[in-house]
Amino acid sequence: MESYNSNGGELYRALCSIVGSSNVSDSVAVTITYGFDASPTPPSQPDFVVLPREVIQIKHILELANRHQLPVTTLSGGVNVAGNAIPTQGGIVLDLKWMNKILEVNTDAAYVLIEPGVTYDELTAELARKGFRCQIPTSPGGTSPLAQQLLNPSGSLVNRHQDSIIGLEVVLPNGEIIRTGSAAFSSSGFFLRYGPYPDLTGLFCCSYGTLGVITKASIRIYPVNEDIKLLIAAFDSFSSSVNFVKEVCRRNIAEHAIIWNKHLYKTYEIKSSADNRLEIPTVLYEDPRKSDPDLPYNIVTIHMSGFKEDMETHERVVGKVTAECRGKLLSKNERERLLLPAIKSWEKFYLKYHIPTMDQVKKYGLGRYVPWIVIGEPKDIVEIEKESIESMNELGLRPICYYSMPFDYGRAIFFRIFSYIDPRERETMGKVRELYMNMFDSAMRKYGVNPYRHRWGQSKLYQTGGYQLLLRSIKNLVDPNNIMNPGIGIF
Amino acid sequence: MEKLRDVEKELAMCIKDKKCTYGEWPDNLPMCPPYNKFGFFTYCGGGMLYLGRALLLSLIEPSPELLKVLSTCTMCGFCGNTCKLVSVASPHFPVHEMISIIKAEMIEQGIEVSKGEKRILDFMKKEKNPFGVSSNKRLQAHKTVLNPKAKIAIFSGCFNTLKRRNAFDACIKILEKSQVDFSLLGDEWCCGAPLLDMGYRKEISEVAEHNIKEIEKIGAEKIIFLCPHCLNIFSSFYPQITGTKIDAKFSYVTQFFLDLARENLLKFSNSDKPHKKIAFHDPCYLARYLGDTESVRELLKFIPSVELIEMKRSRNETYCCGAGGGVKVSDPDYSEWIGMDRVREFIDTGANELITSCPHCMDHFSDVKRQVGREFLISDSSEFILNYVTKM
Repeated sequence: MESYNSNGGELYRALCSIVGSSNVSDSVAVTITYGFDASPTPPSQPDFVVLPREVIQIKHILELANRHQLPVTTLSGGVNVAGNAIPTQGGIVLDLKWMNKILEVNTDAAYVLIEPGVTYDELTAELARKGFRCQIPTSPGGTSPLAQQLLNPSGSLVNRHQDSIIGLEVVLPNGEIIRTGSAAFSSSGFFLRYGPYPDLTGLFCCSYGTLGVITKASIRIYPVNEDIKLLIAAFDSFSSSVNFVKEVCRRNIAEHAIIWNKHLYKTYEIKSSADNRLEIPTVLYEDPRKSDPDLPYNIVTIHMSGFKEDMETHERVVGKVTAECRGKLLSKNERERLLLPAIKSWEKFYLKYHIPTMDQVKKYGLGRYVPWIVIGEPKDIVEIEKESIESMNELGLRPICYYSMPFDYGRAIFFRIFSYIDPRERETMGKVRELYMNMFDSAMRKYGVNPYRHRWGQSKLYQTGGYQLLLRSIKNLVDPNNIMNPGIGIF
Repeated sequence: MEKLRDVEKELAMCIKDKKCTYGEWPDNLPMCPPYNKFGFFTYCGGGMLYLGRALLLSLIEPSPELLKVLSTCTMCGFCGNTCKLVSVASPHFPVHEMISIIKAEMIEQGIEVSKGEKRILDFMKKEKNPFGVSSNKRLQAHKTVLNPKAKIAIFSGCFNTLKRRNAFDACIKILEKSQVDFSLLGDEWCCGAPLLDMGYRKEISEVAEHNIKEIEKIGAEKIIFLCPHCLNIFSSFYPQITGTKIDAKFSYVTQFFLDLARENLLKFSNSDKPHKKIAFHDPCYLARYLGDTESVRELLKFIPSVELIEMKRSRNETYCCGAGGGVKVSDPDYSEWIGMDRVREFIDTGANELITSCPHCMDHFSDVKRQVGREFLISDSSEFILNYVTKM
């Protein structure tokens, strides 16, 4: 790989003149930590890491990068388990951590305007003070809401609507600064996604930093209701669980529901013995499909909120729909017997509207989390569950954990299955990668599911016909030198 | 790289969520000094684990540049206490412990520490203390309080006897007022904590073995520590490095005083004292390594005229004073920057006296105070409560 950090440090000095020397590093000891993440993506070191504080600095950096055809990879929160921000062609990593202001909490128009470095923990705390909440994911509290929502939320407390973002401010690769949605008019705020012209906010969603640097986003927020309920239902098949979540979300009863399998919903303590060997509960070695009188096949967490009177009725309706779907609503005692201490984490998540460290992460003691994710129609996801467990069983992976949830009122179902692999077992890791690729090809071919996030790069984009031609034309127009996150492999 | 290989799994657990850098929701207070100062991910606990991984994967070579980054960690222990991902891996090493292991690996590979640290290393070799003070000075001081019959022995710590004696003297007076029979060790050496900070883990064996022998010689049932760094290394590192189990029980001085007070063996008089507003700085080693956030607070409850005002970052979420991990020697400006941050936080409480319970914090706050240009008192907890202790 060519190093851009030559020419007598000219680029280094230029970057220092834009952001100040304490906000630029070309030290190997610093840049290397930006060169790889928890994913198996091959490491690649940037030449510079830059910490800008203002939009105008980003404008100047992109103008400089364009002049020198220097790749730019942007980090907002920087949390990454998928290799989406590895600067595989070197260049600049823009770490936006200092751009961490909540610029506006507009309780009148119910949106918040944030910078990329704001975390969910910061945003949810600020909203809680004002009696509001936002969509929150099943990712850590240090995640950037701006980045996470741009990538499509992987979980939420509002799965009625998937698009949480209303408008954006973007610095284009040529340094031009634009705003989308209602805010495209300089006299307007960020209150409306769909104005009189085509929706350019959507263009930047799932663009993975390839079209510019997003410096502001307005995000939908919701008032915290008078009464909030977390109900838990148990089902003995995945198809019943899917029918149930589809029903309760589509009919506006639940705001959000997640299906969890038995290797995941319970907190299994992974202990270390005196000689530092892991003590793993037997159930985690078993086929997750094996029936067990004490452990339901799935449990579903159902979140709903509203006026007290509504909630009383809703609770009765959830009980009715649960029974119709051949499930059982768990009593308080049953919940605590089966699910403590996980239930304590969920309560914070659902009732306090912030992201606690889920007790389920105790399984990280087994190794690195390695997920496979698809989105499909409800009936297809039911088949996907069977086939993916079968495939993972064949490779002998344990435990096999998954969770699944409806998007957009249950039109689509999100399915994330994963295991934990000791990172020292490199051969197993390679086999899993191959298995996941095969599972993915098969799922697309047989069930027409969609890739979740880009993950498979150009190989899948090529299958999109005219769409990809238009997208490439737009990319060429916006970023003719292909400086924006070129390593991600989409363009 | 054998030691690093042992923790490869933990090193690979970090998902860069930076939970190691801030406190509990909803306050989310900034907690990691090097990350607050330098900003790059590299400088937080997770970033340093990535440096360890990079070494293991041969992406970088050991270098002075790398050691310099690692040496900005003040070993405040917040990352290790808060990260739930890395701590569930086996074997259990908290994040800060792994940073210490990575540092030790640098030293093993022949990377040199800073000049200031090298001087400390030389002093440790020659005089068995980090100040280079003749070991005779301590021997002389200790001779005066040698009592082979005492069941209680004091491990005084280098700071308390060789640099700033206020806490030590106060402690001795309190023990005398309470009529507690005690002894000092005949030939106390530095506990080795500065060596651990610098990454010289192997070199601790010699001082550990010597100090253990001295404890055995005195035959006391309980050892009282006046510095949390000393107590921590005695309880967590000495058994690991020497394989020796020490029979005597260990107690931190504030816990010991609290036990005495609860048994009515330590009495306080409050009647003639004016109302005082104080703030307590929890030393990192006492709060997070030793898990004691309450002994001082409980002791203060015996003195009604004292009003304790909590700083924003307190108890398990206390913030480093700026003297930890050897940064006071390796990077004095950075060390002062951290100390100033903490002192400003104290000033915000409106209290007029800052109490702490660690000689390193005491020393550093006293230095930083000169830069602040604002008058306030700084006392060690023993020194402070001595004002209220009456004779039995």
